[in-house]
Amino acid sequence: MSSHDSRGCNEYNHLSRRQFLQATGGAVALSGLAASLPRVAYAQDYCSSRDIILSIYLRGAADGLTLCVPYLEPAYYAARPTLAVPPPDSTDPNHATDLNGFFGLPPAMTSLLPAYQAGHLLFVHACGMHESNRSHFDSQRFMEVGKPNDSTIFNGWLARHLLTSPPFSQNAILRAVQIDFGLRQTLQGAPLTIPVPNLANFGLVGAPGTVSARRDVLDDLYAAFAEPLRSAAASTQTTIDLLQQIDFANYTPGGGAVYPNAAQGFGFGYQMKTAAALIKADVGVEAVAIDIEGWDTHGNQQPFTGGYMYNLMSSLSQGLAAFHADVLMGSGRNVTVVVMTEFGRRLEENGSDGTDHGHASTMMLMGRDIAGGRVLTQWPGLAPEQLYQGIDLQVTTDWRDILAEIVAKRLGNNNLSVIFPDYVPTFRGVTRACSSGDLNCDGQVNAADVAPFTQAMLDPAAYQAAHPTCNRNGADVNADGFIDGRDIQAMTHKIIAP
Amino acid sequence: MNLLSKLIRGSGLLDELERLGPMPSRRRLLTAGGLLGSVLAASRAEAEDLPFSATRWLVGRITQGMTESELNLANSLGYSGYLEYQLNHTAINDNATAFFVNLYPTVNYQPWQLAQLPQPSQIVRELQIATIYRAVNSKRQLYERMVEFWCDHFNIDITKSYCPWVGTVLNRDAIRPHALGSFPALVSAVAHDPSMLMSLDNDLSVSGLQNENYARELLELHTLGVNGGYTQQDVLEVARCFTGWTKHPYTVPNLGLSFKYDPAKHYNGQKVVLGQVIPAGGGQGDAETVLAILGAHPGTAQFIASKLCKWFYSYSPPASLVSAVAAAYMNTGGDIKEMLRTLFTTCDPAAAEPKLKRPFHAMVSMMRATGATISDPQPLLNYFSQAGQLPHTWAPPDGFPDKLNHWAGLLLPRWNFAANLTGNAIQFTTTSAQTMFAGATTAAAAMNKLDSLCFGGAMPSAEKERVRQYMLPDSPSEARMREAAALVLSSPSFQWY
Repeated sequence: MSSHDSRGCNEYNHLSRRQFLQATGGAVALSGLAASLPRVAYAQDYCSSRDIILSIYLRGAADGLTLCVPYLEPAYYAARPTLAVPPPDSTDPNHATDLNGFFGLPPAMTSLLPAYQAGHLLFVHACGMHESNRSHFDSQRFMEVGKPNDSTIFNGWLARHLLTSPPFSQNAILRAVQIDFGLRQTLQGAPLTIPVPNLANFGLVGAPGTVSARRDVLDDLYAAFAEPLRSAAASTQTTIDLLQQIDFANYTPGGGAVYPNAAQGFGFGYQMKTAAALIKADVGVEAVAIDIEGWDTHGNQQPFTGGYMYNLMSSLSQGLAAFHADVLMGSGRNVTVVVMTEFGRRLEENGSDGTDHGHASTMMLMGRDIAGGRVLTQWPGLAPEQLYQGIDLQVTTDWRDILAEIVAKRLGNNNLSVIFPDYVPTFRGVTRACSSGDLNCDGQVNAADVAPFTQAMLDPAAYQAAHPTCNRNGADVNADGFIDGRDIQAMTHKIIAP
Repeated sequence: MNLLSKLIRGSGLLDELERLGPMPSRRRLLTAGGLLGSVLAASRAEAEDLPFSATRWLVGRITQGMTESELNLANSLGYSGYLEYQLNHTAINDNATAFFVNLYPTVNYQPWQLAQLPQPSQIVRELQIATIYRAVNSKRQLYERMVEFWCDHFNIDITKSYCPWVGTVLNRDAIRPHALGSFPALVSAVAHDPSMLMSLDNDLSVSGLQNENYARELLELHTLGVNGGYTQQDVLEVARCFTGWTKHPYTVPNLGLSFKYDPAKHYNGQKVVLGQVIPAGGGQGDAETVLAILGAHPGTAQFIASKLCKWFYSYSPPASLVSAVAAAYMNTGGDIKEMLRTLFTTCDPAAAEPKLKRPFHAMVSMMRATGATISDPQPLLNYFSQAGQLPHTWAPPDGFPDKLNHWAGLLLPRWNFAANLTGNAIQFTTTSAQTMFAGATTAAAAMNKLDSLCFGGAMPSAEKERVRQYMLPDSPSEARMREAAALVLSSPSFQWY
């Protein structure tokens, strides 16, 4: 695994200013923020590496009250006579599975329990955009550009993250990819970024003997043309070469992971599987975006076995679970997964076995350094006076608080005022404090950590019981994604020569 | 050298922004994507060697792609004459296109006949075939551009409910009859269409527990626009007015899957929509009143005018142009032809920024330019799918995006379609060497013919020269010339209109 190359401060320091400007398109210098550039450290342990981000957008306003069920709320059951997921203690076979004594997972999503129990999956409930007006298209746009009601911003928050951070690799070819036919707003304006509908099938057709010569012509024609086609063509050509180095057809996921319906060659499971292959190839891609359409469940929402939303949720959760087993439990570069939607749905179901447009929904985060195994929320309640405009779940957590913390803590970029303009985010603790080797969380790595380190390795449950506020992932001292005997040498080294 | 000309010569946008004036740096970053569009007009104007021709521009704007014969026709009629010729679409003899499309039986089936088919795949396929064939071959080119526009404006999810069976009826009986007619009549026809009602769940809406989906999109996407001044309460009230607007079950003889008003599902109380009281007991008339209110609303005129100007003139049209077109709407009760006439006689063609062809437009224009003969369009569907724009397959109600930055990144399917088309690798769609090269034996002669076919003689000389070089040494083989044709169709300048 070549996961320790070209990401560190050494590489960064060796970049001349000119190279840096070329690498970032000059964006950093023009932003006047060079002095506050992120300081990228060598990934000597899992704390110091920058994550890849996998951004998944649920188009159509996914129902947060089904994705993460508030089963202790009587108002939820009163408002949803046909659509509510029964509580965990129900004898109904469609009952929820408890997450934390208040919220539960719907039956379609139990495949996410291993990730949740490993502490890698976090739900952020009652989350969204305060200014959301129940329009899909306005809400998506403003969430994706990172500022409500500002129609003068044309590029996405993730695009501006990439514009204001150095690439993983000095010779980056493809910094971000949308697995789709077009670029969605989140990535519009990003450097070295194109949409690729199918990562495993991306090449020029025609007579093999003339491909090279035809390609030269296209290179020349587009190199002389204006943006954005000039960059798009250049990225297309280099991405063809890049992707053809990766053997997608024979990719075998790790950890026994099975991506749902991947064999059909399209759909979310297939997209996730090819994304995993791309990420594990470690070719410098920093961001991958995938959309899932179809969450606008005004009618026939059907969250139970075989139903419409059941199938959507099942595909989503199986894809995420496979990615967790395949990538997050494996070695290699860390990935933070963000699952978001434009808004949630009305508390009260309509007469069509569906729900109309609402306000807050649920965001999902997954990663080795996500402070998961929890439902993070300032729960506003579902009583009439607690609802937004008397009908919808209130937004109590601004979506930018979550994304900004990910950007700062996991993507190593502190240019938050550019990425989320005119907003001062409040970090909500969605990422774990980094404590590689500090298993008793006293702020130091020393001999006192040896016993908890051993316990974290051999008896995770006992460790977590003894140190409930500490991060067991700190025992992954060699940053290979596993907590095992291979961490001992690194731990020893850390104590002897910190 | 100014910013624009540097950009055209290939300097990076962001490098150039770095050297921009005193604009706050953060603002520059935020608007970077937006600046891209503004450089294009200069790019195009500078690259052209022929003097600008408003008539040639018009042909590019109101057709699915220029052809030699269409440009000759337009030049003979002049700007206004050609505009009027295309606006008066029923006077254009298009029997050959109609004959071909009518070979596909479900295109003309009634809803109840469609409802009896066990599988809808043939119906959807034949609609897609008809759409592609008409775009390539119809002589009523402006009309087909408007049908495409309204298909996006009134987009349905063709996979939902019984839409696979009767989505073709929306196209035939609501959109096509009114595409160049009256907007209020069009929006009303769509509102009475079962596929629209099913796609936006109005067929399921019942009194007391109304479904808001159609009501919201009627206001947001079909008439007033998201900033049109309506409230959540208006959405609720419109939804109440539309309760009971549904379809006959598919099993009903002669009526299956056609429009039905079901009084038992209708909310009979008083409603107030946009401040206007709709008294109790109005039945089906409640929603007819809503449609009348919306059809006569200045907000609708403004929104439709803005979308038409974006479709035909510019991603960000001047407010004065939009106002003129909106005024035409208000003066004529929403006459679409009059809006287009106003648009094209008010706008400044020379100042129009180029627009990027969407994948459908790009591929259709390649077939039109090369005079491709389609004997069976079905194999083409896969190519449109691979390019991301198989007709009638966008699921959300907003229609395929018409945004530069959405499509600009995906060039490969265009390049590959061009290679397959000119290489005759697509079954049942053929290009002829005689048509494309007219017996040319030299690279220069072949290029001149390709330039005439694809650009009306206005191909930028640098691009033309680079493709000519590809055919050297001279006396290129037919295979080499066909590859050169693919490169012309793949060239950056061909991707705009």
